[in-house]
This record gives sequence, structure tokens and C-alpha cells, in this order.
Amino acid sequence: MNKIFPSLMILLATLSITLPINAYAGDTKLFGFLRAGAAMSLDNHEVEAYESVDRNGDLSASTFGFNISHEISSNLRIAAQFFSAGYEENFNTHLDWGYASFSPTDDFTLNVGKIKYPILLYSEVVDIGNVYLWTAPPQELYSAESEGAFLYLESFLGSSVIHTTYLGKYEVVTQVIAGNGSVEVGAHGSEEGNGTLDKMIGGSISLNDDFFTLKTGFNRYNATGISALHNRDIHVISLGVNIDWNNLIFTTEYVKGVVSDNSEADTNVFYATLGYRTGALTPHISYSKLEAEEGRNVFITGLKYQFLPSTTIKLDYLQVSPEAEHGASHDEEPESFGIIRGALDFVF
Amino acid sequence: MKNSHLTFYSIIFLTLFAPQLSFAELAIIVNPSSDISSITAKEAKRVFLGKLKTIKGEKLIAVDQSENMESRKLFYDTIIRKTESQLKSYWSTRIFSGKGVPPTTVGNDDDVKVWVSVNKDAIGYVDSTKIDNSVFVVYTVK
Repeated sequence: MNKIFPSLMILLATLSITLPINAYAGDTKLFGFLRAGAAMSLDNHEVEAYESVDRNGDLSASTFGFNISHEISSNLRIAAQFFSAGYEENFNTHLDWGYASFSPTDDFTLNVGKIKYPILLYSEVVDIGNVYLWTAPPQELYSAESEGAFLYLESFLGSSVIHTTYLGKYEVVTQVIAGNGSVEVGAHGSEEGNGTLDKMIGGSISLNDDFFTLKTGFNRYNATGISALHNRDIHVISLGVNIDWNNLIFTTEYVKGVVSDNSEADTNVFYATLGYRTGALTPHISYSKLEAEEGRNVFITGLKYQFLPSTTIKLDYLQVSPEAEHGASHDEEPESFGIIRGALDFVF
Repeated sequence: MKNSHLTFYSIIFLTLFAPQLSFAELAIIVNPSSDISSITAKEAKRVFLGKLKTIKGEKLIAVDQSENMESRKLFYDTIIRKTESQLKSYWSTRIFSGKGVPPTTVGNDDDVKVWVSVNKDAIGYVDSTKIDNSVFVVYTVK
């Protein structure tokens, strides 16, 4: 797959230029996204979530995705997305998600297959740069390297049921998921490899209108093959708010993960972002906090430039302040470090 | 000011500025064979955002105009209430999570009218001045 990737990229880039933006062959539609990303650390550090970023710079944040959707009938659709990233060996392409979607009514949908994790505010679109302000969503939450009981889940194999109703002007979306997932682990001193999250059942409720989204979620699963979390039940609750009103943008999210019989592995993550849109530019500031065995505080200042409706250019500066491990002396407190990140995102 | 002076200056003002005072009207249209006789603005919004595919049991397939069309700008300002960037972000969220795809884009007012006139389940929007017997108006945007 890695050998054909360059040819595939060239072919798809050519198609995106020569075909209409929604390439349409019967009921089949093609879409894609591309990110050129780079990051550089201004200091030496050993924080795992930013491990690949050093003073020499890092280009592994670049990604490419290809999406295909086919409508079999008015209420049955299949879709799949293939994904490549620079942080994977040789930009190996894999199936990001793929599932069948059945909607007997406009208010009810059943999905079956490999589904993108839908519980958090940005977990379904973590790789789609033009839907959020930062070069990447806060890594304290949206990273496979995130410490603690809460393991960021990219996708799961199973099913989901979605119900939509309306309360006045508000849309209420209720979602229930069930299945199994796998994650690459390296936290808690475990060897790098794949852990599994079995017997997963969870859900979310979101309240939406033109300017506002409130989303609360819950998930429960049993973790195996993940060192200190092996064969333990994990419960995760989340609450997120997004406001985009009169050029003012505010996003915040809180996630709490509880590990049965191992309270030291419990984890809390919180972030808040405030931005203001002035024409094509949106400056923003964020605070992100990870409370875990190796926690940290992160301040982000950034600028998003909406070059075109489908193209954004971003620049972020992160000040990362790791916290000392529990029980460590004051002298062992890790030093803060800075990271500069840039990204060019576009969708087609 | 005497009434005659007021009348005179009013006529001058309207003569000079009347063309600029006229407001475009959009019509949301369906095929004449459709059983849908009217829709609300809220229903139109949900159809074009991919959240509603039937009204009173009648199937609806939305068709859109190209990004630089005046009718599209008016439609998305008044009915959908999203800028092009916000719209792109909305559809990116739905496409790349598998929840849906945007309507087919066919071009301008004339292209939409032809599309709707030959597709039984189609719904689109055009400048009101384009309306003729080949389509049926279910909502007027002023």
C-alpha cells in the first residue's frame, strides 16, 4: 500500500482538479482532505504527546484522506474513508472508517461497520482541519498518546443508532454505540503495541441550534493488553460546548475517565478556547489541562486564516508545562517548553 | 416644506434610486408533478442541510447552485444562515464522519430550473423572475 500511495495521491489530485468538486458518478460521490503540517520545538523535552517534535522540526503532521460515498437507495447508503499520515511508517494507507447506514425515517439511522468514535466534540473530525481553529485539537484529549484512563479512540467496530428530534428551535440528537475498539498504546509504561477495548457501550446527547452546540457523552469498556489498565472496566463521561455567534467563537470540553480498582490511573482533561473572527482572520487563545500521573498545562495562542472556503492556513504557538510526577521533589519538576506548529488544510 | 416641493423631490429621489431599492426574490421550486404544495423555511433549511429527505411521504432531492451565484448567496444568507466558510465546515463534518453529502451542484438559476423540471423528486431555488410553468413554487424568499 505504501508503494502505490504516491501514484494514488497524484491520481486523486488530478481528479480533484478536472472533476467538479462533488465528483458524481450516478449516486457515488468522492471527497478528500489534505493537510501539510509542520512543527518545531523551541526547547528539548520528553513529553510523549509531542515526542516527535524536537528542535530539528517535524513534518509528520501531514495527512491525506480519501472519502467515497454511495447511495444504494433513498434510505440505504455506504461510505468509507481511507487515511494516510506522516506519523505512520511510509504514509501507510489504511481504512479510517467504513460502514453501511440505514435510515428508515428522517429521524432514525442505524450504522453498522467500522465507525469513527462519535462521543466527543471533535473525535469524528479530528483530522479535518477546516472545522476547528487550532492546527490540531488539544493533544491532552485528542491524541493516541494521551495519558491515563481515557484512551483516545479513533474508531470502533460495531454499530450506532442515531435519533433526531426537535424541541422548539433546538435539534436534539441522541446516539448510542456498541462494539469493540483497538488502540495503539505506549502509556503507563506498557510496551508499544495494540490494546483492545471490549464490550464497549456508550452514547451522547447533543443540543444544537444555528450558533450553539451542547454535547454530553458517556462510554464504558473493558481494556485488555494495556499494562496498568489490563482487564479493568473504564468509565468515561464528557461534556462539551461550542458557540459560534456574531464572530465570537468559544469551545470548551471536559472529560473524566475512571478506572475500576486503580484510582491512580483516573484522568481528567479540560480545555477552553476563545476566538474572534475578523474577516478572514481568527486569532484565538486556549488553555488545556491534563490531570493524570504525568499531567501538564498548555497555553495555545494561534491564528487561523480562511484563505478560501475550502482552504485554511494556521499557525499556533504552544507553551507546554509538564507537571511533576506524583511524589516527586520540587527539583524534579520538568521544565516548560515551547512548540510552533503550522498547517495548510484543504478539502475537496 | 410645501407639499408641491415635497412631491417634486420625492419623484426625483425615486427616479434616481428606485432601481437600487428593488429587492431580489427567490423562489423554492419543485417539479409540477410533485404532491408537495408548500413548505416552510425551516423545512427548506433541513432539506438543503441533508437532514430531511421526505415531506408528507414525498421524497425530496435537493439541487444547489454554484458558489459564485447571487441566488445562492441570498438563499444561504436568508434560509440556511451560514457563510460559505461555515457551510464548508458543516459539510466537512458530515462528509468526513459519514453522516451525509451535500446536494448536487448544477450551476445557475436556469440550470436549476431545468433540473427540477425534469426530475420528479427535485427541489431547488431560483430567482423569482425565472419562474414559468415548468416548475411549481412552494416557498418565496423575500
